[in-house]
Order: sequence, then C-alpha cells, then structure tokens
Amino acid sequence: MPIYEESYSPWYGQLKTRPQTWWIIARTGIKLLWKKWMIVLVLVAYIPFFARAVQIYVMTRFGDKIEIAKTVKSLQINAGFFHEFLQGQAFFLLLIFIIAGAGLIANDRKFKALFIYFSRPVNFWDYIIGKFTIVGFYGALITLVPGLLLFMVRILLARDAVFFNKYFWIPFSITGYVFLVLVTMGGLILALSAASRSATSAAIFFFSLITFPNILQKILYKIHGIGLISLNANLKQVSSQMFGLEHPFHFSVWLGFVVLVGIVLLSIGILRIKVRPTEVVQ
Amino acid sequence: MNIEVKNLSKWYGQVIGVNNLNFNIGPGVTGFLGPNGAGKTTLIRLLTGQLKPSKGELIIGNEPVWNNHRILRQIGYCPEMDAFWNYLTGWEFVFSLIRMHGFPRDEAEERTRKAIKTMDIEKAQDKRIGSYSKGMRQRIKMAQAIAHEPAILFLDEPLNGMDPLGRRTTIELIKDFGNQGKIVIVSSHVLHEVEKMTDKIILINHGRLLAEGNIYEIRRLIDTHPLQVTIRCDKVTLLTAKLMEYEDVQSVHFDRENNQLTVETNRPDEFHLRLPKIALESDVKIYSLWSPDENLEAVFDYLVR
Repeated sequence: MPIYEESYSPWYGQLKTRPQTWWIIARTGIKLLWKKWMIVLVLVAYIPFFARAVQIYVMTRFGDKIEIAKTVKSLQINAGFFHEFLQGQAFFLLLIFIIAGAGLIANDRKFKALFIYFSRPVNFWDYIIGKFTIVGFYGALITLVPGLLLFMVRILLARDAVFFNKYFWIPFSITGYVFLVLVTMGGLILALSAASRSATSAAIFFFSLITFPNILQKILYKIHGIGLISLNANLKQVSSQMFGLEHPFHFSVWLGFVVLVGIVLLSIGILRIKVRPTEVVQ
Repeated sequence: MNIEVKNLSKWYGQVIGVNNLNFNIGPGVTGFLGPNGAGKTTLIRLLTGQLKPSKGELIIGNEPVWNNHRILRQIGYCPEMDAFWNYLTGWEFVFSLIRMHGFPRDEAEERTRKAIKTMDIEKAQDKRIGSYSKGMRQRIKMAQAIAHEPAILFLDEPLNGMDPLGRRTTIELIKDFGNQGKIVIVSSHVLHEVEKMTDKIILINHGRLLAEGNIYEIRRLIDTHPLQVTIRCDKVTLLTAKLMEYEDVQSVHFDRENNQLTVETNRPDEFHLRLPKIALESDVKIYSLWSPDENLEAVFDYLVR
C-alpha cells in the first residue's frame, strides 16, 4: 500500500451549506446577455413608459382643463391605464423572450454542457430556476419596473390621496400580472428551448405558438370560447379580472386560468423529460 | 476515501450500459480502459452522479453518490466532449462553475487564477472559448475540473488534442494529483499514455469488468498467452539451446544479427529466477532483457480481442 503525501489543499473555510447555484446560473446568464443589443432593446422598450409618464403628468396637472380628456377613456389614469400599458409591453416581452430565452437551454444541449452542471452540486430545480430567473429578470425589467414606476409617478404627482385610496391595489395587480405572464411565457420558452438544440428553432416555434392561435381566435371570434386556444387571450382575460376590468372574451376567467396553469405544467413536464445530464442514443 | 462499486448495473431500456460491476478504488491514479462502447463513459457518469444506477450500490466515502451534494462537491470532472459555452471566456467558464461549489467570490477568484495558471492557459484566459484550439479547450476543461481541488478527479480522455509538451505536463500533473492522495480516474483508450500515468487499471468490455489491478499482475494471470521475454546477449545460440531444455519455454526465436532472442514462457516467475543461473553457468553475458508484451497494449489485446 503506497503512502500518499496528502499535500493537496482542501478548503478549510466556510463553504455555503447549500450554495445558491440557481443564482449563480442566473447571474452568469444575465451578465452574458447584458450586451449592446439587449441594452438597446430595453431602452426602446422604455419609450412607452416615458410617453405614459408624460400622459400621467399632463392628465394629473391639466386634465380638468382638457375637454377631450373627460370623454376619451384611454386618456384617463385608472386601472385600465396600467393594464393597457402592460398589454402594450407584450411585443417587447415577446422579443425579450425570444432573444434571451430561446437559447438558454438549447445552447446547453447543443454544446452538451448539461452534465457539466449536473456533475456539480446542482439539481434540476436549481438549473431551471436559474434559467427562468434570466428571462424573468429581463421580462420584469420592461414590465414590472416601469409599471410600478408609473404608479409611483402618478402618486408623486397627485395633489391629494384620492387616487391612492381608490387604486392602492394596483401595484399588487401589476406584480400578479407580470408574475403570471413571466411564469407562463417564460416557462413555455424554456420548455421549447429544452426541446430543441437550436435556439432559432425554439424562437420560431415560440413565436408561432404565440401569434398563430392569436390570429386564429381573432378570425374565428364568433366561435364561443375560441379565445381559449390563445395564450394572449387567456392572459388578457385573467388580467382583466386582476385589474377589475370588463372581460374582453366570452369564456370563464377561471377556465382561462386553468389553461394557463396547464401550459405551465406542460412546460415543466417537457423540461423534466428534456433536461437530463445524459442523453442516451439507442 | 474510497470508491466502492457493488453489483452496479445500468441499463437504458434494453441496452445495458454496465453490467454487475464490483470493484474498489483507493487513492492514486487508476486507469479505466476499454474499447469504444465498452461502458467507460456510462461508468464515469454513474460515478459522477449524473446517472442513477439501475441496480447495485455506488458508494464514495461511505455515502451513496446519487443526488448527494456533499459528494458532488468533492468531485472534479473533465468530460471527453467539448462541453462548452463558446461565448464565455476561459476565466468566466472556470469561475462560474467553481462558484457552484459554494466558494465565496474571493476564494473562487483565487482558485480560478490558480487552476488557469496550473494548466498554463493564462494568456488565453480572457479570450472566448470559441476561439480556442483543441489543446487549449482541453486545458480549460482540466482547469474547471481541478479548480475546486476535488478529492476525486474523473478525467475522460484528458490528453485528447494536446500537443506533445501539453501531454507530458498533463501526465506529470495527473501523477502529482495521484501522489497527493487524490483518487484520480483516467479513462482512455490511448494505452501507452495511461501506462505513463499508472499501472493500476480497471478493464471494461461490453459493460462488464474484465480485469482489475496491476497491469503486470494481470499479465501474469493470462495463461492463454505465454509471456514474451527478449534477451540481448553475447552467445545467442548457446543460450537458446539451454533455455529450450525447460518445459515452460514454448518457443525461442533468435535474431543473430542483433544478438537477441525472444522466448515465450508459460511460467514467467520461474523463468526469471532461472535465467541468471543459466547465464552464470554458461558464461553468457546478458546486455538487456525486456518483455515486449508485458505492457498495457498487450494485456488489452489479449483480454479484449
């Protein structure tokens, strides 16, 4: 039996008992995506925010002097205003999900890098939460942050507490809506990314899944409940309930919510099947 | 710390990856050998906790490996494949992976720097991995495997694509790791390279354990192939005649031009004990003696082919 030197230097410091590996995955991903084109996209996505901020300023300060403001609903600052703003961000959100999300798992599969993660103290959920945080961060950056900022702008410009007393729940609705959008759309893009080795294929498939059912439900609007096939329509229906607005579609909000939960569960199922360190070629 | 493998099997549907393996691995360098498709990579993936055993036990330091973060923290793995994100720099690659082991930022930075220096890739550390040559990619893969100074190191074809100098330094490094008391498992089919690192081998074929232990001991156990011994001496004919008198000597081929003869013997231990006596009695000067088939290549050949 040989005698070994035992001279290597193990770490005697305090290792984190359970390293937040999801955060390390997330932070690396966020940092890597924070490039020129992403910064440009985020800045462009803030243009509607600035326009809405100006609208808030004008309506708060001079609203009572502008005749048209009293009759045109979309100019008024109420729950619908915030809902509309968030709906308007959907286009940028789609771009963010495609750019930031499509390659997140597809590239790991393409580079056969999954087992590099899983031979370390990283489990399935660490990996998925880490990847989700990346899309979640950029998604929230162009929806949650400007949404809440707009609410703050409205509160700061108010001369009294009437608006706050009436709409104090709006930040919760904004947060809830953004969470719902991020979980469903973010989950879907991650699942599609995991199902493919190509970021481009995942992006095209995601874009198709979001837009075609939406177009179809607009064409076939006369069919009762057709909106259920569209992720957008379901999100609109559920979010209208969250913001206390009239429902845009003729199907139950709960049914819409069930469809969204179904999409999330399906996405998790795909991720469970596809995110494995070793792929077996038979 | 030891690796204990008991009745380990892994199958994928009807395909058997590894079949009822039993062995122990202690500190030092051990070579995992086998032809392509033998089950080496499956075994390494089982040992690194990426695959769950279908049957049997896989224990490292008295703990099962599967889903055990305490064990995974002590493992370093250099995969055979180029498992890279080409858009990362070498530094980012090593640093982000080492952080997953729970090191604080400063410590992770220090360890990244040290690993990159050890693998002599400092000049390229800020370049994107996508621009690395095959040898450089191999070095950065090694760097990520050793950066957290694991107690157990799995190296799957670690010398692939390296230049001769890189190969030599990496072999020395692997031997150093072994001498430091780490468990180092090197999987390779480049036999002479494994031979330079260790004489402890585990030979796998068709998912089964074919042989385990010291190369020379294994060679001696292969009685279906007599051991060849080549002797260079001054009286080739005389020595040939003397050696032919013994039963265990199967054949002798002599080469008068080079003053050497090659003997095939069934009982190498007896042969080696006898030879000096014969040489003294017959006044034969032996200049050199070696066994052309007492090496990994021959052992591998006899067992696998």
